[in-house]
Amino acid sequence: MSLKRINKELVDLGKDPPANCSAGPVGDDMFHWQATIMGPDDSPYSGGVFFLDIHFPADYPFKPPKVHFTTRIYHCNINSNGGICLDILKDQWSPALTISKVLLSICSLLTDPNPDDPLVPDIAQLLKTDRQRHDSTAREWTSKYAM
Amino acid sequence: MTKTASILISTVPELLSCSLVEEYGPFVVHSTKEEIDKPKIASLSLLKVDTLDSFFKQNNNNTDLLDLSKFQIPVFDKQRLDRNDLCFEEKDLIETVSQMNGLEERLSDASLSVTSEIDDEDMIGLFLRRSDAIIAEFISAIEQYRKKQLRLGKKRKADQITTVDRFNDIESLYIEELYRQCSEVEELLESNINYLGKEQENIILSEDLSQVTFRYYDEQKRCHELVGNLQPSFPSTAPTWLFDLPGEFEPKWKRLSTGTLLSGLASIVEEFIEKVNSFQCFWNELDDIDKNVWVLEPSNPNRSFCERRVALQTALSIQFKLDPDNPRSVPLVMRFIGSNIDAHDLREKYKNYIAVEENIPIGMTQNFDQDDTLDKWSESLSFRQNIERCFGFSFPTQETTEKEEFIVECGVCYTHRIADENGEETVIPSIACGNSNCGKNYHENCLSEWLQSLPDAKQSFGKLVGTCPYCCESIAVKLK
Repeated sequence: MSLKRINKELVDLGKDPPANCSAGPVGDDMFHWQATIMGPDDSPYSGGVFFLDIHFPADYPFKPPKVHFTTRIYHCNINSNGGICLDILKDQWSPALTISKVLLSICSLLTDPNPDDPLVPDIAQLLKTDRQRHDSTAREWTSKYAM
Repeated sequence: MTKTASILISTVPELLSCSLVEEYGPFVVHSTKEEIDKPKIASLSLLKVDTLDSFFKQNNNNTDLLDLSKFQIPVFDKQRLDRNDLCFEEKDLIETVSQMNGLEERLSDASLSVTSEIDDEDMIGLFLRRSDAIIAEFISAIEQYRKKQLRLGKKRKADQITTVDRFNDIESLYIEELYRQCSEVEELLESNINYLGKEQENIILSEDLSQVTFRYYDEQKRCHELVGNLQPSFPSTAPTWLFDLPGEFEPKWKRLSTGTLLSGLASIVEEFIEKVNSFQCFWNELDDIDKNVWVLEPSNPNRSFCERRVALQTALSIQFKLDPDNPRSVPLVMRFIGSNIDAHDLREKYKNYIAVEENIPIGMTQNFDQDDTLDKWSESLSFRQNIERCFGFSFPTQETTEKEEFIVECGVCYTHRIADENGEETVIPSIACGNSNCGKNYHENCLSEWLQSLPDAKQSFGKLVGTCPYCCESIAVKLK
């Protein structure tokens, strides 16, 4: 069942690709995908291409997919290992969600970081106190790692 | 029955002098049944003996083999034996036998498989079945030959008849038994002509005579099959039957203690045809539905299926079960599958449509408008007409609608059909979210699995209640 649903998602992604995102399986293993997100224009990540690794659990869609960044990014909700703090990837997961929707959520997380529920408190603190310095570091990291 | 012994070819004296049998047999198969439900083949031997007499002499001391006192033996009928006296020219017999397809080969094949695998019970069973089939074939060839001889009016030589006198009771009883098998099969073949008209292939006998298939075409040219698996001990034991009927059908294999068969294959075929004819109206109804209505389930219904699930609108369907005996009466089961709001209206309409009129005092009847009684379930209409009249619209058909409209995906697995317990992809979504703005459809299993993973789902009255993955409205599924 998982495999069927994953295949269906892949077909749907091809038919109606989400803006600024792409995703697809790495090799023959349908349970292991790679995705890219283009840094949104209205964010300090603009111009960068961020790679993500997606692992579908065997009981997908009953359990959320495991998604993490493989490209380093300066973001208060994403840690140095690429781990993402996003509710829909944890307790708010529902079979109604798809990889496409997850990627769009991550996109909007890049535009609107959530410093009130941070994974990296230092970055969240800086974002709250000195947005300018935060954004310039983010831009710096983007050009260093994602271009 | 504590002991059974079957002496196969050796019981047919004519065959003993037949060179074919001299080469391969005669087969002597001996088995004991210690308990009726625990048959155990104690010994099985293949002996090469010159004559039946010498066989019995050889085995005089072997009580197992010859103690047949407990064997359920049909009453000896001298007249029948006389009637069935088996006397022909050896030459003619061999001619007849050699015309039988590959018989020689099969005989040697059967004996080889037993000699090499004598310990294997499966092999013994197989051999018994095969040799029984071969025997039946032999017998029927002999029988046919005999008939031919009778027809030709050939006179038998007196000295040949005397060979019959050689038989002791046991031998003749075996002949009797074997003859019954043979005549049963013959009766069946004759019934092909008697009951089923001239259509070919109405009765199909498998090559080893272990299975017989009857085909019957009813008035609507629907083909019905009755398959009988013949046991090696046939006709002493009843065949096992396979058929595709919505109702009960228990053919009775009646035997008297004397061994006389009261109802044979032919009468069972007759019974079957009668049964098939009694369901004509039922199948007409279902054929009408299958042809004119968008049937969602089952995808390839058997003749025995009484249920259908048909599409009414996108994401709204009804599931019903017809009574095979009263197909035009109100269905036994009627379920509405879809969001509450869509289904509610129709459910109400249906309830009123099938509601039984209260007993009205005689004087009051005139107060009722005739139109009122018109909108009730009518057994003079077909199911489809009744439902269309009740709902006030025609069923969408495969011609008038796009397939996509009814192929609803499950909101969890994203597919329309999923595998059932047999691994066949027949299950379609059967639960719809009651929120009419959502109306998402789910497979029962998919939704149940999701709700079970929710920490806040609750169980009550055999149902699991949680929230719809899409709209978060409450949704319930039956607990497995």
